[in-house]
Amino acid sequence: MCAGKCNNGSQPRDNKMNTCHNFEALLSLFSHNELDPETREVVASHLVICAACRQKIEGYREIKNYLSKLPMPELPENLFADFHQGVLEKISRRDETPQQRLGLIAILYALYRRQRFVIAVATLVVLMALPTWLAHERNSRLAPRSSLTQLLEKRDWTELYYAMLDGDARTRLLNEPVPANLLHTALNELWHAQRENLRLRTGLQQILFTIKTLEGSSFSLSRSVQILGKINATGFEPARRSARIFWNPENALLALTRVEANRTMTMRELFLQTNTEGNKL
Amino acid sequence: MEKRNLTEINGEAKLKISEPAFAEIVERHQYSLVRLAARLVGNAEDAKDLAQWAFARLWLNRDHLDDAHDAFYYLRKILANLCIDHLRQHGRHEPEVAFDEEQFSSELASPLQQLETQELQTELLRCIDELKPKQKATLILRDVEGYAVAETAEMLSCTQNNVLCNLHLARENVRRKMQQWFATA
Repeated sequence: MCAGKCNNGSQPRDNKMNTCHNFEALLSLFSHNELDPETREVVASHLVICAACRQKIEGYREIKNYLSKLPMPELPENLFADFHQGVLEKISRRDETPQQRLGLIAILYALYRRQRFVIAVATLVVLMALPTWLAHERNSRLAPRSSLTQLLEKRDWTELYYAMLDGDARTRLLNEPVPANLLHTALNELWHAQRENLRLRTGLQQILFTIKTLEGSSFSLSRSVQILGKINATGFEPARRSARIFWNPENALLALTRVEANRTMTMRELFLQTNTEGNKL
Repeated sequence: MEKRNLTEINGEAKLKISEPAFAEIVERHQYSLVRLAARLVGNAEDAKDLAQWAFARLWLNRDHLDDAHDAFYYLRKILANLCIDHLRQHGRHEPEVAFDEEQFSSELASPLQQLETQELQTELLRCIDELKPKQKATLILRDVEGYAVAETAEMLSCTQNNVLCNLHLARENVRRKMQQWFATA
């Protein structure tokens, strides 16, 4: 770049356009007389004041001179012996072009030659898939391997919360039969503890999310965050109502007290039975 | 291969270029075409192969030509594009075509000058060989072979502006590399 060398000190640079950078692409064309007269005149007027560009022009002319003196390629005498015969042979293979000669091998070879392109595409695909894969990995790593019974016995709400984030674990836990009395005790604790504990409120919100999914209309992530905010700000009950979620933990607890203690039921059954406004039980 | 003539291969189609005329075209232009291809791809055998494909394509598309005078322009165009495809597929390699040594040095006086010029031209050929296929073809057609910008554009199936752009890039690349070579030599 020779922008700094434009002015030889005798004449000031009158405007921004008059810099070497703007003439860079025109110099080689100027040296070979390939510019239209108007542009040529503009370049010539710049060359009067710019020694660096004049030097470049000299360089181009020198190369032009060398190029014009490049020797002819020397071809072997016997190269043309069977030339016409070779043309006939290629005419008889009319459907083949030089590029199509090897079919699949040629395609693979071309891909190999364009390996930078293939690597770029592969990288793009990996980068696009990576967040999804990482989220899945994280969820499946955090998702509990233990059964719902064990989780409820341990009162491990954190693991239950992560289970709700992972599709496979959620399905497994929702369909696992657990003793009704255990479900009652655990849900009762969760319900009373959530007022003080943010993680439990989040867990509860995830349960709502699950219920909504069971109803057939899943929340978007932004809606989910909105509800969680509302739970934190106004408490669980107003948030539940404003989100039009008809499942009420109190109804569920009430329903559980009516179920025989030794009976087993799944969380899915519990949600489906107690998610109507009028409480079917 | 069994020797056959063109009428056997292509049936009795009505020809715009007759068989004898085609044979004459091959005879007349084979040397210049192979030479041009050799400049572009740097290998005599490949050059011959590509030139033969260009003639074959001319014959197969003879119905699209107005008259035999178009043949040479058509041939150059096919050949230039075949050479670019060939360069793209096979990448860069050291030129294998030998250059006439008499031409290297005929106008020069001393053996030392001859040696210097040989070195310079070898370096110049290496710089050209390192260019991208399209830039290389543009530079050779315009600056080495001396075709006009419009002709070059037609041969490479692109616009004149495209040719000028490629020319600038190629010349700048070669100038910069040669400048470095001069500095180290």
